[in-house]
Amino acid sequence: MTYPVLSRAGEALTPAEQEELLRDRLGEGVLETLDANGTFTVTVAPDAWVATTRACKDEPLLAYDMFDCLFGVDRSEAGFDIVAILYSTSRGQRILLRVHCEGGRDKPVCPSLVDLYAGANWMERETWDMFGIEFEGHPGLTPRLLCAENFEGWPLRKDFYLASREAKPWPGVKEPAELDEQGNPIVKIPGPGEAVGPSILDEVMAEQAKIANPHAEVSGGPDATAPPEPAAPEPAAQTTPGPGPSEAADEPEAPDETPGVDFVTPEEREAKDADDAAIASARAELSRIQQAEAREQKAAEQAAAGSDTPTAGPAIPEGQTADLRDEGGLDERDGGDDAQAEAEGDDAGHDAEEDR
Amino acid sequence: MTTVAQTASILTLDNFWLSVGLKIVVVLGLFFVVPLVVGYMEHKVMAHQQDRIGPMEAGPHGTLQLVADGIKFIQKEDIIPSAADRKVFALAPGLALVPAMLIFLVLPLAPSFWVEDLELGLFYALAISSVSVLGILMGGWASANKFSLFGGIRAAAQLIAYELPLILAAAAVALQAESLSLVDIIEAQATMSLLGTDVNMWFVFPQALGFAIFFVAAMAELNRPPFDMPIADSELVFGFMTEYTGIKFAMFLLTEYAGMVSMSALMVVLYLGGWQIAPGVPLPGCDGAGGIFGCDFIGAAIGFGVTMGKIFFLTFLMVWARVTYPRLREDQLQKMSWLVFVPLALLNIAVVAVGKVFA
Amino acid sequence: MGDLDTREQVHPGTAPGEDLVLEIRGDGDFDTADMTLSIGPAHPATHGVLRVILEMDGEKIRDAHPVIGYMHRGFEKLAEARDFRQIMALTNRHDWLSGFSNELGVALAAERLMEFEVPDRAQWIRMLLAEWNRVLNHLMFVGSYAIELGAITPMFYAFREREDIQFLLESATGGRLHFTYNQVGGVKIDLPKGFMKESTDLSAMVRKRLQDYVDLVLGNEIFHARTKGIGPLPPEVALAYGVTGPTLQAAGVPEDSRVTEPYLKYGEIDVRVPTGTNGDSFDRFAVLLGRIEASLDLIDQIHDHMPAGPVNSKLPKIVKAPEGYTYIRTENPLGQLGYYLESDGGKNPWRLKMRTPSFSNVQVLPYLLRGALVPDAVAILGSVFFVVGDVDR
Repeated sequence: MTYPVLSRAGEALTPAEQEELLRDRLGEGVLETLDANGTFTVTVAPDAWVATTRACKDEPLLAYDMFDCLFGVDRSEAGFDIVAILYSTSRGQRILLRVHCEGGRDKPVCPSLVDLYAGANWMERETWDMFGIEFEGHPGLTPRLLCAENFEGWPLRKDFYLASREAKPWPGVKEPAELDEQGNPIVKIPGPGEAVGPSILDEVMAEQAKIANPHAEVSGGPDATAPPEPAAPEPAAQTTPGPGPSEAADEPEAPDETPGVDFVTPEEREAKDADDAAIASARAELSRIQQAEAREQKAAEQAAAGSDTPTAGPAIPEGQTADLRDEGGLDERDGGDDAQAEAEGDDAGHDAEEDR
Repeated sequence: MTTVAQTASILTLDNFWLSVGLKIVVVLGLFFVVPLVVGYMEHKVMAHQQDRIGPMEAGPHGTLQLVADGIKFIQKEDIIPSAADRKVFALAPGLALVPAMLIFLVLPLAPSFWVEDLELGLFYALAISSVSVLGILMGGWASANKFSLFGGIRAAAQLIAYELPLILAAAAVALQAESLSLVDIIEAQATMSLLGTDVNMWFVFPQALGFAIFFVAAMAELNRPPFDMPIADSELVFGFMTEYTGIKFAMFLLTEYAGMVSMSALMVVLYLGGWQIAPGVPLPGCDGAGGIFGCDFIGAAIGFGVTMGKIFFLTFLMVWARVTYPRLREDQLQKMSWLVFVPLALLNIAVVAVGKVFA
Repeated sequence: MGDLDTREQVHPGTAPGEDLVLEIRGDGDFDTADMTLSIGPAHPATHGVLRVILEMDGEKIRDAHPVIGYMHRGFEKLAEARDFRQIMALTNRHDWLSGFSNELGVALAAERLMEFEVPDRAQWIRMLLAEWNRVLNHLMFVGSYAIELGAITPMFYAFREREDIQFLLESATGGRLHFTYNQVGGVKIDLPKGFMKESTDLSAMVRKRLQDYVDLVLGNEIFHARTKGIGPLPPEVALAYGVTGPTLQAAGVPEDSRVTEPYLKYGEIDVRVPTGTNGDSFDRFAVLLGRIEASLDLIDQIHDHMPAGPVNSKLPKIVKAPEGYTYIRTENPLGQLGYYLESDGGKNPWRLKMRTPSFSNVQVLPYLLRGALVPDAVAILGSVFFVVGDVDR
């Protein structure tokens, strides 16, 4: 006996029809619906949460028999949302039910769905574990499902900072990127949801990597013409020790970074990005010209020597990275990779935004 | 009841104490060498059947692997769980090992090469092999560990269950040979004539069913897969042996391999004609009964080689079964024993008895 | 003890040296104490650090409480501090036996939010590697399930095949276990020369060797005795718990994302979904073997369809997803993996919820274990395929 999967796929209700049906059953409980990005979401009021789920499960036209998951979303000051995802095997469609928990950020509560779907048990335990949302009617939220038994705090809340370097600073030798000119560790206060360590560190390390490995053969022309970027950064604020000012062509990633100051503002970042883009595209233009010349030269040589080269041809246009690689071997791929990286200077984070 | 005069064992010398000393040396030598060779064979056969090559480092082609294992076990720390019953815990491996050693007293391995030819040789062998169960049960209980207790109880139940088919199958052989002495059984196979004709054959041919039952029951007695529920390492860590370390653990392992050798030797004696090369073929240099007794040195050496070859063949079959089959669940094991093997063994006895009366 | 049937909720702590709480039942005037046996967290039968506390009456299990969280690494929190390139390396690792499929889900979710067009060749390459990943994963469970039941040989054969497949995947992606080959918009780099031929040869060889498992394990009478009728799972219960993958298909529900909600180019080829009848352990294993063969068929079809073309698209310098959220579900080897991705317009996700198949599969364990014997517990644990990293994230 095979379960009737997709047996009624042709009769599936459209999102509008489903909304109508649910509003008919629940009236004021249904707050709004949204059908975007391939998902159909119905936001309901907290007192209609269980009734809506029951309707989705029991209504013969909806028949959401599979319980997919249930989890919480942090809405910052507004509190927490609970999202439950149900799936109908006979119709092959999915619905997301969303509810805003009462109680704000201090004591969020939500009714439990355990009586309707057995799978909600552990999902709600996990949501409680991660967010601290109490589920009324749940047989037993303790002990904590995923965290250690004596853990304090609700990890997935936005005000719970990732403690990568906050709890205890790295006791070992600090990398150059983490020290400023005087050798003091750089301390950064993160915004909500931001990690303390890695993201800023990556930028600084990318900066240093670029200084240590200048693309000398490529940056012949534009270097002289490129203006040394969001300018003469104050030496005190320079996070890159050593040959900073002389490498004006390699614009520093975060020149405004002073120890203990917040992120650059979005506007400054935008401006910097725009300038980066300009520089990089100019460099890319030059490299493209140089590559084309090199290729013609090679083609001429090999034509003179009388052998076939599979890769003789025009310069590779942007975006077409794979045509020639299909025929080429591993070696050619390696050699080609650098050329491609140069050709698409500002693409895919190869050069400028190295480890962002 | 000895029939034709057989030459006494060469180990029985005139000087009693010299004789005892020699016999002890022989038993210990056999007991410590042959299981190790069988163990090496198991490593290699398992490895090749699993698409790998097995031990290669210790000695040429890994031949000294088990010697190295023995040395390793001897120098390990002896850990006794704090909640364990110390005396029982310490005695258990010995109680399992010594009976395995004592079976070697009655096994005839070559013309004139046995330690003792007891009139009740078969009875003695089967009885003494049952004593090991006590050691296993003691080990499981004294370890103060739930998993070990499970293992010990399962072992006890299993070993009791499979004693019966073992004994019944052996009884059929004794019936056909009209003797319980192992040497007499070999002689009976060499001199047996089938239904009045001159065709000579081993007991495995008329009693193939008995042989199969004995083989399976022997594997169950030894806790060999597919009957290794008491050890079941995916469920019970290592069953009754979990808490044992060092030399005590090595003693349990040696019991298992020595048991393999002794059970295989019993099967060779009972069913495969002992040291006879083939049914009806006399050994060179022998002029005694059935062409396999009263041999000179060459004959004895060949006989010894033949016996060893057959033993290794049977242990190879046991290893092969280990590699191939998953484990049987305990209740399925019991069901198989009581509902399948015991009735078949009884049927076997009935058939042999009828055959004996009319042939 | 009194006359009432008092039953304490036993919630064992994880502190070492904890007292084992005995549950005293008052059955009239006969008090019995059941034994509490803890399987795990370090135990040969559980795949990783899963602890199952069994309340037992002799060898019969009265109740089971799985205790998870030993491997909780905070993936969802970490994902909120990573951008879409770093997330690929992160999602590899929660179900380490299906690394490629995990990355695939995140890439698809991000692409859907950004409304990215992925080139055709990239989609077919993704399908090819996802199917090879599926074969890799299933072979592992074939071997490990057999060894839990006592058959020690299929494990070695399974790893022999796995080595060859991992070598093939290493030639394309550089990794044997964690591939980090997907990126938003396609795959990182094209397949090396000779890959398609190697893949074809390997698929033929694995198909031929698959017969070994059918002979050695599936056809073995002892295996039948150990697994037939053990741990049956009815379809309604499975769906209520959210069980997916081979476990659900063995219960008789042919619910497979590749067929019911085709993603990538699965709609253009013929996907076969083997189903069981009883939902017992034997069916689960048979479905596993059937899925390997179905994946090999898919791989052969993909070989025929593979187009030429680019394998990734130009990405902006900083990959940002627009505001909004989406939920995408793919068919991972162990079940259906869902990613809920909510973005606030920045380069890190605001919320990435990983709906992992093993989490729901493990949740159904108490239902399966009640009433079973201890050796059957091992047979059931091994047949409900899960990876602990997937359960805990």
